[in-house]
Amino acid sequence: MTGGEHAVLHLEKVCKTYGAGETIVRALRDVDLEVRRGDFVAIIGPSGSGKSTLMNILGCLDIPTSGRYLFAGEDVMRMRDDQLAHIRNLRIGFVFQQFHLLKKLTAWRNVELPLLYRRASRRRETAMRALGMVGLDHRVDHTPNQLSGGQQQRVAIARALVTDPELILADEPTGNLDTTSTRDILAILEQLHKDGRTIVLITHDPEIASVAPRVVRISDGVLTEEAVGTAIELDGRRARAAKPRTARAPRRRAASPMIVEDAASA
Amino acid sequence: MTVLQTALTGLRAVRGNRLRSLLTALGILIGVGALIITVGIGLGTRTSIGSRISRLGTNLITVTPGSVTSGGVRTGLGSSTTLTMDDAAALGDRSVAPDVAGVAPVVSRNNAIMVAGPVTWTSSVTGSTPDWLLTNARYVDSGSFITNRDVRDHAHVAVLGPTTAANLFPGGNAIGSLVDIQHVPFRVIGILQPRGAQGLFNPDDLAVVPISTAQGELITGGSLTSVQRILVSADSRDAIDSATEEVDDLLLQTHRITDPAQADFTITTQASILSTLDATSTALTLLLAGVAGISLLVGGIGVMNIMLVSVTERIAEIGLRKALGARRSDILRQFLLEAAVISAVGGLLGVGLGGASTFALDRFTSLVTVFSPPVAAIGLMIAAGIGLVFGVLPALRAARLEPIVALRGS
Repeated sequence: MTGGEHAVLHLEKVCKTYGAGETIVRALRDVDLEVRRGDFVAIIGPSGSGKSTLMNILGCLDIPTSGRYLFAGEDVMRMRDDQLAHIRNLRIGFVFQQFHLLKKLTAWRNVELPLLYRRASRRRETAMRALGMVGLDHRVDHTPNQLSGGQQQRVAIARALVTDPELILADEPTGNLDTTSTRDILAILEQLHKDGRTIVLITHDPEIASVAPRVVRISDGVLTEEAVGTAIELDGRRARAAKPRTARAPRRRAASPMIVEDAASA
Repeated sequence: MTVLQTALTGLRAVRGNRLRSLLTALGILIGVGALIITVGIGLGTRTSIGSRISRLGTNLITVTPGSVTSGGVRTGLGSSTTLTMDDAAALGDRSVAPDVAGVAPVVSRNNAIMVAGPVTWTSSVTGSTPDWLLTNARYVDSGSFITNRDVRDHAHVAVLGPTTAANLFPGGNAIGSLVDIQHVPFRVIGILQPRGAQGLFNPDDLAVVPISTAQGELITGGSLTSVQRILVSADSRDAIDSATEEVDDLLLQTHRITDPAQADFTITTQASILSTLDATSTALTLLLAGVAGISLLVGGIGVMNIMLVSVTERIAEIGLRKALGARRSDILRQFLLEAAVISAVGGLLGVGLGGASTFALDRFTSLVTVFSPPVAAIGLMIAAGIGLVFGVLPALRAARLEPIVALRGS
């Protein structure tokens, strides 16, 4: 596996260990992974499998103990703290299970946050556009507790999009949502993928993972390429950039996020 | 993040936790308030002492007999009678003591019985010369004061303090009337202007008579020439030091004393009393300001305490901000500013409280207090500084949080 110019993420024999001696925990063992521009990859694994560790490393929130990790060709392991912060700010959009919105800020102020740390101008305008992309332009001045779970997660997605990042990293984005909201959020992710964005989706749920054309499984810190295609339609085809298939129709019904109806107000 | 953005974030956090921020600011408020009040009282005491002393006549130099060291024993002040009328006369010579404006030898006794008609009054009687007025910075309200001629003639005339006059002559017809002092009849020729009581001593309750008359007829057991003290008035405030020196030199010479340590008299100036009082009140002010400073310190520790709680509570927020690209310096600044804002608000309220209390104390109590703007400014700066200093530890702790640890914190 070579670090091609198009690889957004390139991991080679990445290991992560915690502790030392007898209590050593090897959370990741020799993980190889390449994610290209425009990929939609689901990383699936049960809790304790090392998927959180992997997510932290992919998100430049933590650095590997050994191995090689290039983010868009740049060596993450050689970066200082501030450079990592810079990458997280400019090139990665995070979506978390618990949304992680600041309770006291309105929706658009939450979306604005990453822009503050890059000293961008016209922040409100940019934030509004991002909120429009997730169909929330009518609730910009609401605080998180005035929004439903699904809406909160859409705010979080808008926040991830606002910097126009190279990678969207979604960690169990539907873990705290009901079925309807889950469908909405997944539809948005699919739409973003169609728009050419690179998405890594981390989940324990094979059904959720099935929205991604490519699924990798992590188990005991070891990563295996599960399938190309979907977890449900295991047909062994290598179609890394495959279009979503009609077999996943139940998820596709929620068409484009631009026209997603507001679940709470509906 | 720009400084302005950081400041806004800090302000929002302070506003979001209004009660807690206010309680934290309370510590700083009390500290700054206490500082301003105590310094105000200290400064006020100093000014009131200063004005009292100058009312006494700051140019006054008092010469008292005594302090003779004989056989290792220093005899008590005023117990011997080494000062004479000749000393006073010598000091009055302007060619020898050019900086001396007036000299008044004094004898006096307390508990002199005074009788005017049916009224009996006990007061102190002072025998002196016309310069008594000048040296004591007193003035005659009505009538006249004793003259050099009265002194020469052993005249039986008396000038009464206003309190004494009012008690002996309730009808107000004192001048020209007779009063018996220690069974010696005197004619009242004048009444002094009131000065106002000062502590236990009432300078308005006395009778002044010619020193010669007092020596001869009122002070039993005293000689006709010795005096109890000599009041000397310097030409001006600036001349006090040189006048003191002239008095010292002259008396050493007339008393034929070669070693100044063996002097049989003691010279006291109002300036020396003033500086003693000044030093005392300065020490007191410093002490009080120190106590106020300690309360500021405690307030600062309160700020640190609350900021640490705030950091712990907001671990998830810190983690999120870091995940979204906040650098350590961004987080550090955010929390430092928050602490500084809380402290500055406390400081401002403290200045308000201190200022209001200072005015109220001055207005409604007998205390004299002074509100000092520089002290208020210093207090404010100390408050903001305390916020920064005590905010450093919590802010550093926040800045050093690993983003994954912080994110897990929720």
